Amino acid sequence: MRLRSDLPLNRDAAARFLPWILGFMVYLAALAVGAAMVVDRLADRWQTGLTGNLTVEVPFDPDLGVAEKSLLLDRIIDLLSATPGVAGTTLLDDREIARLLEPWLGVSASELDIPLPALIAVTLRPDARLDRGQLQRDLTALQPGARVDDHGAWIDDALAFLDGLKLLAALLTGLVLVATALTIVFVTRTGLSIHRHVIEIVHLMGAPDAYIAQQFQTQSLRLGLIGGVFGTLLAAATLYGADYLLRVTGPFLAETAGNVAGDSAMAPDQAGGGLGVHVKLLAWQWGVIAMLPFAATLIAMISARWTVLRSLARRL
Amino acid sequence: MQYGAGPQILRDITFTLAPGSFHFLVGRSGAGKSSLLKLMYLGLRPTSGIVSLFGRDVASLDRADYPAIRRRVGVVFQDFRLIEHLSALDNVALPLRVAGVRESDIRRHCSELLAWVGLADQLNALPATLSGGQQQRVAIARAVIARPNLLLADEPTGNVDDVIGLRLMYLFEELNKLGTTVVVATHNDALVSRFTHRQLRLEQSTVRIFDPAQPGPGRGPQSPYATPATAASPEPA
Ligand SMILES: Nc1ncnc2c1ncn2[C@@H]1O[C@H](COP(=O)(O)OP(=O)(O)OP(=O)(O)O)[C@@H](O)[C@H]1O
Ligand SMILES: [Mg+2]
Repeated sequence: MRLRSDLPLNRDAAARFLPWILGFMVYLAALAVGAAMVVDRLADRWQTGLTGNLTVEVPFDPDLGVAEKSLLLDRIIDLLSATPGVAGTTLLDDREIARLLEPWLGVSASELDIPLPALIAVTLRPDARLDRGQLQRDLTALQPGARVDDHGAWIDDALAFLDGLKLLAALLTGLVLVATALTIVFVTRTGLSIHRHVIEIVHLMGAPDAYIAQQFQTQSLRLGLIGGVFGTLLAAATLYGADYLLRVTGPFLAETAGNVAGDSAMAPDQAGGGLGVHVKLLAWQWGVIAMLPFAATLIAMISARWTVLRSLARRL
Repeated sequence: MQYGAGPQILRDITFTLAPGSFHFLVGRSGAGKSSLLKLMYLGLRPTSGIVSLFGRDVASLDRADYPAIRRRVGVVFQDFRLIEHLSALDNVALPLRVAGVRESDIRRHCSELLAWVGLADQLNALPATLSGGQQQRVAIARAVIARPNLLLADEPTGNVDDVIGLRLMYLFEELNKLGTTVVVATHNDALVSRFTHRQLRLEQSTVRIFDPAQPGPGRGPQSPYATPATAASPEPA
């Protein structure tokens, strides 16, 4: 079906710049939504990745012998293994600890020849209810100075931060959609006044306001889809690009991020991804982003219709 | 009836147009013919008095009632008022499109009518590329295409030669025979005198009805179609 129009809306300046504006709006909205979704997944991974783990740090007296050290560690590992809720323990070797400390010390810890604590990564069962205080007391009894680090405070901060990011993204998306509506209202008003005379003639031919609204709506549909689809494609390309960049720089990022988090106890897949910053979206999330141009177009059409009906009702 | 704070252009006008009647509206230039027609196609509201159309007082009409009434009224504007970016065919099609007629029927009807008024070769021409007389014929075709109950033609033959002018008058008469109430505003006395239709004569801001069928200078509201009332009340159909 040819979308015909009695008003020469296609020749208005608006017809030329509106797809750009709408495309840009949808681009921003898609990026914001995409970012919110990435952050959402990230929060999930951090939560499951970190809450399922804790680290036990065991400092030694400098003059303790190797045999005594390993005896002590064995007893601590036995204690941990016997603790309800613990699924497994891994003793991190010195090289790994040195690597973790490097960002803090600036040089390799082995070069400094300082006494390193032993670190034991503890994996918890998913539904574990660990009595952290009791565990800490038991550990102190075995070795004063031994410390349980369950990332609790850190993860709360991090999750609050991620929640803030999500809120920001939602706010941005909302603003973009409002701006889209306002743009359409403005453009429609301009169109109504440019085509005043034609509209008057069409009215005199017996057209109801809805007939005129329909033409502006059709225009919004056309321009909204053109701009929206391009904006979304561009946003998808940007998200892919960001994912690619993260994967290229990933190993470095992962290391730094993992170290900054003081996090040696992540599950292997998380440890590989560092903070787990992937711009990988699930199918349904891509689906939501793919809906954006249509949502924006719908908003544009509704805004156009509303503006026409309201403005015309004030005439005569 | 006055424009803004201007002088009273029409006053003490009372007449009723019987459904299916045919009237000329005559008067000197500036007498107010176009203004009177405007009142009748809802282009203006009277500053005082009552205009009723199809039995309904215009003042009581809601904005939402206008379209249905305007679809029953065909207007040939003195200045044509064609839509510049639409072809002759699309201009003529406008009243049908507005009324929601099927697109295939629209094309057929419009090209037939345009051929009838001698514009078979100009279906896709833009108004700007047409002569004044050709534009006028497009305007006339647009006014009659939807078979209105009331046809208001403002100087519809002003830009065409006598032969075409007569042909157009016959078109109006055909339409009138099918039941359309017709008002043709003109200051072409020669044209008026060729027909025996009643005349609405606009002089000194008021209307008198003249019936050529009745001998003598039939002045004043003695015509059966004029009903005395206090208000301006063109009441066609
Ligand atoms: N839009 C307007 N605003 C103010 N005054 C107007 C307007 N239209 C017409 N008039 C005035 O109303 C009077 C009647 O004008 P109108 O167009 O009705 O005359 P007319 O009989 O149709 O003339 P003509 O035969 O030249 O077309 C004129 O004095 C004109 O100046
Ligand atoms: Mg006039």
